[in-house]
Amino acid sequence: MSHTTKENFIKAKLFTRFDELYAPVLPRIKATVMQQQQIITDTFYAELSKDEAAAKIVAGRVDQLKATHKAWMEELFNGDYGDDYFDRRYKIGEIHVKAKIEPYYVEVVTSYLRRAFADALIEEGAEAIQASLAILDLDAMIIIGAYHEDRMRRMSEVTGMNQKLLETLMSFG
Amino acid sequence: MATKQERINTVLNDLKMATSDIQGVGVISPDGMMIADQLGGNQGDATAAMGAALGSLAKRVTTTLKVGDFQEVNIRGTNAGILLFDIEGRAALILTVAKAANLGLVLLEARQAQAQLAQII
Repeated sequence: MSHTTKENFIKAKLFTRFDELYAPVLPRIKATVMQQQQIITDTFYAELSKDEAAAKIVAGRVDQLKATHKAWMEELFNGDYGDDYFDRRYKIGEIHVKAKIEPYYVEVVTSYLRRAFADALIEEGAEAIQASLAILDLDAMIIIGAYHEDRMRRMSEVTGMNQKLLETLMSFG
Repeated sequence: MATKQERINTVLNDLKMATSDIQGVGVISPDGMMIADQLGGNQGDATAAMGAALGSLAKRVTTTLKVGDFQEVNIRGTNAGILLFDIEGRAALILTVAKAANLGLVLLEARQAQAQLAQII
C-alpha cells in the first residue's frame, strides 16, 4: 500500500477544498452522467481499440472491461472519498501496473473522459463540470501514483537502495 | 558514561590521527544520513547520500555475482581516493585519502575502526 500517494491524495483534496466544494456536488450529478455512461464507455473502448497496443490489451474481454468501467464511473459519483475510496482506486492503479498498461494510456483516457463529462454536464453548469473534473484528476493522480511507486520499488530492488535513500539522492538533482 | 555519538566520534578521531594520509572520515546510515562527519568541506549531506548509494550498489553487486558479503569499496580519483567500509549493514564508514596514500596502513587502521564501530552502532 502506498503512503506517498495517499498523502498526496489527502493534500490534493485539501488544496482544492475538494470535500467542501466538489464532493457534495458529485452525487447530485450522478444520474445525469450515468445516463450517458453507456455511450461514454462504448465510445471510449471503440477509441481504445483503434490503438494497436491498446487493442491487444483489451482484446477478448471488452465486455468485462466495460462492466468494470461502469462500476468505476458509478463510484466516482457516490459522494464518499475517504480511505476506502482511496484504497479501491489505488488497487485499480496496481492492476494497471500489473497488466503493464503504459501510464500514457491513463493520461489519454482521462483526457477523453474529461471531455466526455464536460459534454454530458454542459446543461448542469460550471459547478457540475468542475466537480466531475476534480474527481477525475484525483483518480488519475492515484493511478499515476501507483505507477510511480512501482518504479521506485523496482529501482530499489535493482540497486539495493532503500526508497528513502533514492528520494534523498533525487533531491540533489 | 560517554554517549553513543561521543564513542563514534572518538573512534573517528583516533582513525583520523592514525596517519596523515587519511584526510576525512565519516559514518553514514543506509538511508544516506550523516551519523558522524569529520570529512571537512560542506558536502556532508551529498556525501552521505552518495556514500550510502555506493554501499547499496556494492552490496547488490556482491550478492548478484555471488562473491560473498560486501565488505569495502575502493575508489581511486586522480587527486585523492575514497574508501567505504560496511558496518554490518547498519551503517558505513567513509574515508577520503591522499593521492599517494600508504594504503596498507590506511586499510589496517580503517578495518580496526570498522570493527570498533560495529560494536557501538
